[in-house]
Amino acid sequence: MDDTGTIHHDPPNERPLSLDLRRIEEVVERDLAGTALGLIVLELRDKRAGGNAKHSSHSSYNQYSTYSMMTIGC
Amino acid sequence: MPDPDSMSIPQPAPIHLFICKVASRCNIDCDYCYVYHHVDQGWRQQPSRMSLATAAQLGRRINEHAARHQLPSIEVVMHGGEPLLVGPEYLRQWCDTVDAEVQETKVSFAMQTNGTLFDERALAFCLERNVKVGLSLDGPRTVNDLHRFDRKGRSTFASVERALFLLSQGAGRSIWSGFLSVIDIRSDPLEVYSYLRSFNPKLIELLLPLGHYDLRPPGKDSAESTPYADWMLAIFREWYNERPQTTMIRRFRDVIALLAGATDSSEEWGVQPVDFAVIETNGDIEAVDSLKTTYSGANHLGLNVFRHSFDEMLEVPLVAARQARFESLCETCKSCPVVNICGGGYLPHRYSRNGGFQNPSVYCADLKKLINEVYAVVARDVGECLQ
Repeated sequence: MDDTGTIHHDPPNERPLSLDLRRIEEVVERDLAGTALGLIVLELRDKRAGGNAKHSSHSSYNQYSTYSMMTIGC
Repeated sequence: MPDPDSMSIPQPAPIHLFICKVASRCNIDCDYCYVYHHVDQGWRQQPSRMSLATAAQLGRRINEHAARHQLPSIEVVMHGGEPLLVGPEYLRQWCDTVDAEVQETKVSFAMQTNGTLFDERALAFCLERNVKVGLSLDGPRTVNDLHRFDRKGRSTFASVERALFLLSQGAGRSIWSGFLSVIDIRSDPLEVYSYLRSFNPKLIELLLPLGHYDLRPPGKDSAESTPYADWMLAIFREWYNERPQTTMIRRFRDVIALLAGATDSSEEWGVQPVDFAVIETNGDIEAVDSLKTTYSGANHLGLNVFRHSFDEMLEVPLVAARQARFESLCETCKSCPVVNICGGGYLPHRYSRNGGFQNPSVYCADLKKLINEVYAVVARDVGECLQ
């Protein structure tokens, strides 16, 4: 936002970013077990079995819910 | 907000998470709190605690929603204010009351607390009911004391640390889910991480301070500056390279998981529907409570559990927009290469008086930098071509 209160946005035109989960799983199994990436792969595998939508961020409740003020989820 | 009638909503996502304000007041006075220190002061009209009659009606509405959508499980979070202000015995009655009305699904209880009232009695209640506990703490004493004071302006650190010892050791570990920590970029990120990590939490959630175009986040001097990305990336590099790693940092997890095609994340990320409701102490059903930082009444939906179902909530324009999330974004976000990851940013962070929520996040530059750098590190490790 400039001094006049106008909000300027960058014109985006690049390709979407993505990673291949299968490739990540292979590399984790081979070299990165026990790392943060390994932890994420384990969690995604667990979820694949159960399925889930979205979380919240203002609590530490369930890491599988969308609300973001929370962090619960053991 | 775009006209919801023009949006394509295949099927509304049902509510899985019920954030319940069991107490509308708090015993401490954090200066950044979105409930008490921002434009919406709706808490003043709320009863200080949710009555058991309201809890019973809430339980009936949850049951109705779960039955209609055949939900195998849902989560109920005791939130506030500070939920422990009503005391563990009342919370036990409250849980029993909700539970007694829900037969169609499995209910899991959780609580988010500032920790200052979390004592052995609270621990016993949480263990007895298997209530998962999230603890709000921003870091070591020097960081906590930047914002988290009691009502006389004194540090709350010692009392929170007592709770932390109860939760991080012995039986407490089984119900402790982790930390909720608001970022202050004046702090040393590695000092914050090292402190939080020393308790071996399962999860750390690093929260960006609530701000928007008319309430510039602290230290965010220009739209292009990236102080928050720089702060988080310092922790990311440390966390990513630690081995063994047993602590999840949800912000980084969400970026990597979404890059790899996951369909779940915090509401702050991704373009999937948001699946939670906030219930005030009087039974009002509301949208995400952090909208209180944008304008007065922003989170009010005009619904109440005594008169409305949770399915009616899904039809309210603000909620429908968060369900049809991609369609509700501004054109700049829709064509951005990282939109599937950032989801246009957290809803309150997009607000401006002139444009409403039709803006990229005020943290757009930070989010892009964080996503691009996390992507570059992981792509390098897994041998994928960098774009």
